[in-house]
Amino acid sequence: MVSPRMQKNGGTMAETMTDSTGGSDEPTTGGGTRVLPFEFRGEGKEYFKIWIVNILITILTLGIYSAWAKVRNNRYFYSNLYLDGESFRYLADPITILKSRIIAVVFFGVFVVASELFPVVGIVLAILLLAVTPYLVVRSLAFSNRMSAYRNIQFRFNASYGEAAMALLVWPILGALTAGILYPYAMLKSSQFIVRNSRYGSTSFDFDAKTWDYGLVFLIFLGLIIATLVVFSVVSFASSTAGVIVGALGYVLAGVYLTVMLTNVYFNSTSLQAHRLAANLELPGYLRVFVVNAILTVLTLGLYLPFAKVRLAKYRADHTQFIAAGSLEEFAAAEKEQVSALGEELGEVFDFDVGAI
Amino acid sequence: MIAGAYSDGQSSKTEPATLHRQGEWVEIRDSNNKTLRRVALSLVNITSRLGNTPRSVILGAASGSAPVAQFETDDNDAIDRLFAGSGVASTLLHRLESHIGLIASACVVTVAFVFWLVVWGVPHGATVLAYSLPDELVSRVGDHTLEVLDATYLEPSELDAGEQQRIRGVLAPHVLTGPVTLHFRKWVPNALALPDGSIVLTDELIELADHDEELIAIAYHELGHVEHRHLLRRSLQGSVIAIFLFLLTGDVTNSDLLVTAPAVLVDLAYSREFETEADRYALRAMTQSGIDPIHFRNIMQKLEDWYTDQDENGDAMPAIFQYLSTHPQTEERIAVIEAHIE
Repeated sequence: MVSPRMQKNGGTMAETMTDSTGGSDEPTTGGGTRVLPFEFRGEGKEYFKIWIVNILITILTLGIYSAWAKVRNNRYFYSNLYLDGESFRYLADPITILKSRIIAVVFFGVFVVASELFPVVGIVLAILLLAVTPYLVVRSLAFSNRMSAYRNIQFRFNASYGEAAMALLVWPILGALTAGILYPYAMLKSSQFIVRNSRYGSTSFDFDAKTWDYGLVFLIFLGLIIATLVVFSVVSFASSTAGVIVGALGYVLAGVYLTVMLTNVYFNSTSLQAHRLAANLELPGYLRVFVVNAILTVLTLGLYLPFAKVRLAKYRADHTQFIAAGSLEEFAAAEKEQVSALGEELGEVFDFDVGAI
Repeated sequence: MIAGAYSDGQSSKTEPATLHRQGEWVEIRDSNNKTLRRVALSLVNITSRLGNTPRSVILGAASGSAPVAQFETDDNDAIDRLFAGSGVASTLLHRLESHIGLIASACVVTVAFVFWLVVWGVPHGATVLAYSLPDELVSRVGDHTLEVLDATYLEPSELDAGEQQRIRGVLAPHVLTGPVTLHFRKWVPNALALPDGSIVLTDELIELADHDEELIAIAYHELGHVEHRHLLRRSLQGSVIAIFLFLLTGDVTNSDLLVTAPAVLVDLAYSREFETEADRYALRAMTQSGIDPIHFRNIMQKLEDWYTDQDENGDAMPAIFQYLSTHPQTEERIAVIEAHIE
């Protein structure tokens, strides 16, 4: 809803960090900073077993186990992501997720049936949903950050409705109304919103991307789309089959380019006090991972999905680093707060992507 | 004694430590063997074993809540041995996940179940539900669909009133019974059935038909959709498939397309099945009313020709595209009609 579907990677600070890890050999860059690679230690075969047992029990329990399955899946990806010898943690309680999930599924059922059978009611519901989206996104980010920890310190997220509405609704709508001219700025605003309102314990993240960082990415993305359309029309003239294939490849290329570049801008602009994050995802490498994953997943009727997830997590980890300016031992925990999972669950069902990367 | 790292939950500092169990007590000691923390076993929580990931021994509060001291270790086997039988370190799921026979059965069961659900379970359930809803509700459902279509695709018919009246008269004895109403609109050659029993014929379709019987055939096909409650069934099936996919994959991120594509393909397959069912309904109804089914074949052929002409280079679509269509291939439908005629 907030961003194009191709850029789904990484809703939250913690999530994006756990989506990634990095492999650089040089331990220092001088000046007292250390380049710490993220590292993903999960294995496709090991995850496949966890994944298939999750699905089996989910089926046998008529879906109830899906909350436990979610926790187990997330735990696998968080716990296998290492930075400086320590791994991340996913802390959510399945019962919390189950409760929210039941509410969300009921809500979703009503929404789908109402909008398919009574189009007018559906439109009204969609507008209402749009109005509560900023609130739900904030709740969702607060929950998933809170349930993520590193070195026994939890991440946090806190933002006002107004701020969220500006970043997630007003700017993107202005971006669309100005035929995309303001879209790079909208993108900057939403990433800034997410990063600056995220904390590691009591320490805030900062974000220093420039509008032009996004402008350049979008110009090249636009160029790729236009080039695809031109090639598509030319080739279609000869054969519509070849045209469709070329068009699909062009679309995938443009989508992967956008994901790769936005991920890089996002991490390279994020800092935590004097520490920085860095990412160097590359188009050919990411494209290879994406294409291999898509083909094998389709050929195996979905059974390759766990291997695909692990492969992607490894690639992202291998191309992300943490540039530490000193010790990582001095971050303080934040005070207690209770956060419900409802925002996150509704967010997942209705698929409002948060436009981070 | 188990080696690992201790953190107090107040800061990100961790230090090498060892864990010791003394009956109903758990003790954490630093590298100088000095006690850092001593907690009753009943207040200890240990995360369940998951692959080769490190375990957290949470000292003194339920998992998932605020800053709390913990001890972390990679030595999963040692944890399982030390706390065997005490009920704090669950290994059941890990044992299931390591059982090769169970993994193999899970693959078979999962694939078979998904197949059963998509092919039989969901369509059957939706049919039962669709027919058990009262007529009144079904006919009121989608009251505004035509208004929405009028605002988007459809334009007012340019057919003169006399011709509309004549067609109405032709179709009346066949399809205009019960809640069914007939509407004329301008668009491309097509006919639509709406959930409330409205049947829409386009001017272009009427122009394409050389005999009234061809319009009757089309109207019967649409009536088939109404009688079999196809629109209701399709939206029920779509919702169930969407919820099912969410339950199975709701925790899978980074795979949008891989998750939504199967849902779309399944929905399209259901749609094609409904078209075939409506075709069969039309053929049966025509035979019963003594109308030659050849007219159904003829109008289908004309529609196919019209749409082929629209495609500039007339290049045949590759076989794979049939799975991306809401309707079965026209050649197939015509073949079925011809088989019926014989």
